[in-house]
Amino acid sequence: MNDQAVPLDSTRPQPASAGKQRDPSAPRGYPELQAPAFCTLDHDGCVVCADAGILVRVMALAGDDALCEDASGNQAHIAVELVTPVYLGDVLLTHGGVAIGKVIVRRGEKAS
Amino acid sequence: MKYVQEFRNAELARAVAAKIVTLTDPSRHYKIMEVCGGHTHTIYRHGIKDLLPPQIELVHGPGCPVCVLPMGRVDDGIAIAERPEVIFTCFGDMMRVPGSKGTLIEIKAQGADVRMVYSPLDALRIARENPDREVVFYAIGFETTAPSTALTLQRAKREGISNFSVFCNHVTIVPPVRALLDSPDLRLDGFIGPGHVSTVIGCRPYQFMPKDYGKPCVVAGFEPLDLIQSILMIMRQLAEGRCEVENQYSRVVPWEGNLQALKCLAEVFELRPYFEWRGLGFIAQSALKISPAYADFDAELRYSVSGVRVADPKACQCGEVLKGVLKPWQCKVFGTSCTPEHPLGALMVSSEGACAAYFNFGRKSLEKVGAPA
Repeated sequence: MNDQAVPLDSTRPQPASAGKQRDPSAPRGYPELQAPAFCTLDHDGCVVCADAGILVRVMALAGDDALCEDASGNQAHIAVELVTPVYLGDVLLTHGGVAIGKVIVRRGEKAS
Repeated sequence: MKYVQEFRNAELARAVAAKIVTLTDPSRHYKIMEVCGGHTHTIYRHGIKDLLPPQIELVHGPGCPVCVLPMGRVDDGIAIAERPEVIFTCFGDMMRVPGSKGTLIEIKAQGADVRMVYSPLDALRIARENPDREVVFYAIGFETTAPSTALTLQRAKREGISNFSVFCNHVTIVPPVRALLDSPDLRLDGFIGPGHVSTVIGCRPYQFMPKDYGKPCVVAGFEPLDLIQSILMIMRQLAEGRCEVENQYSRVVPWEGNLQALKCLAEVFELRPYFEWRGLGFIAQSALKISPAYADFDAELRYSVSGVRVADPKACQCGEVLKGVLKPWQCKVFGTSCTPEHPLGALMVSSEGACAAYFNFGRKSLEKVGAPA
């Protein structure tokens, strides 16, 4: 986990995928996670139900929102006010466009 | 991604299932309720039921918010959506839930401006972009979803957006579970607690289950191994004569919940004195309404919602299925006049509804037990 929050601005290096159109033939973010049952930002499940809680990684921060990427490489802006402080690389649980929890990283464990 | 893939290990799942067998008393019948519709979905999608000994019966609970919504509330939403000045926004699953006069998708076909959104924040964006129209968001869901609505209302108030309001149908998980435990129809041995609801409310609210009713509860995640491990934890408690709340999903669920989210909920919502649940009737303090501080954003006040109670279609047995008294395939219309393409009852609409899960993934099990289709 990173120690400091990094604001989203043009002076800082952005993730390679940020703001770019994804080539559909290119391998997605986490190719080992192509299993269809997993909820991702473009695979709905039932959004009113809790199973649409999606794990995403924080790629960039912008005020109360963060650019996040799911296991399949889909990106979305997620509201992170309810889980502050948020750092780059954090894994968040999101639901309906809002982060409601953080994956708890135990001592000696890496989030990636 | 870490935290997902390792919870799909089939070999490990079989090893856990073997441990469950050793803890099962062959002369006893165990009934374990998974409260959350997402769990029902995982159980059938991954065939977890087939790994368990026949003595363990999994009973589906009332944890699908679309399924427990009474028809009257759907009709109220449709009445608002039919107003010409309104852009009505809702989650995708809500579009096909039948009210007494049709569905939101049907009135959209007739010309109403109904739009599907992924997040209430998207509805707020639509309000920003259409200052001359009234934008209403149909809020539905348990404590997992309620924070996103609360956060949206906080932003709307902060930004002074006056053409946005919320038709609030948020419900809470503990009162219906208590109602089920009080129901004489049902004898349960333990509960698989809802994982993502618990991310917000924590594990403490479930302590009434062991304390007042003597039932173990294990809060579980949504991957197959999460589910099967939580069943093992319940069976272990039963075998050892223990009865407590345990947290299998500790990688995401803190024991105290998300205090920031709870504070946000407390500011924006308050408990309704009572609310009607499909199949369970009226349950006290089981739903949320918008607090007086946010009354300007309350669509129920803005549009004078009629609140008329509407009975379910006679053939529909969603209520009994929701209480776990009937299995989905025991409903008279299951798979015949009620299918995911043409649902009569709400349980067939949502992918997490018990009937839809059975219809899509549970049919092989039905063939195995020789149950009527």
